[in-house]
Amino acid sequence: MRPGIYLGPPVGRARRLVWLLVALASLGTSFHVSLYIRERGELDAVRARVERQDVRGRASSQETGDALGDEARDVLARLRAASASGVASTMSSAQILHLLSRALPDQVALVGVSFEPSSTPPSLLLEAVARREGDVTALQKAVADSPRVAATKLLGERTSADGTLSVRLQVELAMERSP
Amino acid sequence: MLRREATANYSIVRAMRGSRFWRWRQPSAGVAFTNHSIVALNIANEARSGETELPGGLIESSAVTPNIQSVGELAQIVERALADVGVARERLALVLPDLATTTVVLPARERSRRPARELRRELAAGLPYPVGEARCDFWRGQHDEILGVAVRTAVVQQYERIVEAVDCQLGWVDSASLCHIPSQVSRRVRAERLEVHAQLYADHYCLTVVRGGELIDTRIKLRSAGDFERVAREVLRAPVLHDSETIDSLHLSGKDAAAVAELLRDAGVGEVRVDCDGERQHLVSSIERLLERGTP
Repeated sequence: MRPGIYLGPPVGRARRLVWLLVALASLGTSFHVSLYIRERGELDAVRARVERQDVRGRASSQETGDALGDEARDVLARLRAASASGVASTMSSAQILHLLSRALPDQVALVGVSFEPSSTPPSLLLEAVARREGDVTALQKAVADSPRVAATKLLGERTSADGTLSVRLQVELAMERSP
Repeated sequence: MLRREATANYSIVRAMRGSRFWRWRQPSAGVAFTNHSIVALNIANEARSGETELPGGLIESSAVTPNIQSVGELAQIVERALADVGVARERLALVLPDLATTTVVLPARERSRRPARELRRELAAGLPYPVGEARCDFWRGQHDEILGVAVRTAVVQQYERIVEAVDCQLGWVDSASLCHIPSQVSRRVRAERLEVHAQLYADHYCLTVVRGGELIDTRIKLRSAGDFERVAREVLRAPVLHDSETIDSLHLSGKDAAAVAELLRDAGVGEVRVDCDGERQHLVSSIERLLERGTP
């Protein structure tokens, strides 16, 4: 029950404004929470997919003694070696990985990476397998487009018995300019 | 000195009044206006009240025309009165003269409650000015009876300007007699028991009739100073007007309450109580009623 008659000016406006602000704030909060939950769900799904692929890859590698797993490990070992060899001063391992991941076309498989730290400028030697000549050209062009790369040179191209092309590509890295 | 029993008797309210938050939020001072005086009250630390006489004609209570002849002059008087009781820059409860308001009592309906629009229309029928120029409010009793009150905006805004001029904020606003009605009808009494409450002032009085805890009538009438008989006659008419034989309980407060009580006892009214004798005491209790309500 109300305490009594009130004959003063209306007090509802200020209260309504406060309630409106509270409602807007809670709406904004709930929107951000829903966004966060959705992003979190997507992230979890990606993680689960990666883990599944990883487990599947390990299982198939163990079953078949697949050479691809060995090659991948070899590439990683060489990249680590690059960090220790002085190329890292020109380009870090992460940057090399980034370069390769961006430059490698879908139809091209990387089978080896080696470094020439003593050459001037330092260079990478990529060994890759492709199905068509066009894929090799695409690889060469994509690598050459990187601002980190000074020049590329196709050292060799060989056609295997199964029709795939094995190529060796030399990538001269651009020297970093001192500011 | 303020009567002890007049202050709020709620233990939680009393406990909270000591806290800083409560003091910041709750009004602890008020001012009541009549045609001939103002009463200021401050209950912040120790209750202090003061009455200041006004020059004749400065306030002429009316429901239709603006009441205050000079807002600036009255503001200066109010500022001094508030300073005398130690009030500065606070939230003030504002007690308006009864004659500045228009009231109506609407009995409860058996089946459904009246919507607000209908209440406003019924109140508007008795207003001497367009309802668009009025501030209306309604209070619903425990038997669903309605007390409707209207005050013309131009009238009440003059009093609000006084509060603004003395650098205070506005708290609860009600009229001197109507602010007592909720407590008068909230008592638990047996059905058909007729109670009459008479609140007496120098120039008018307010009669409230309650039957079985239900508000059935309230009316404000003019009187001249020292005219007890007319008030007594009007009180004695109450049972006749409301189909009862006798007044079971009569409460009097305000100016000449004791004298009128004596007359009515002689006239045969059984239970006559004088709640307070004197206009100033009654206006102080009106301010206290509003302070108990807190902020609107």
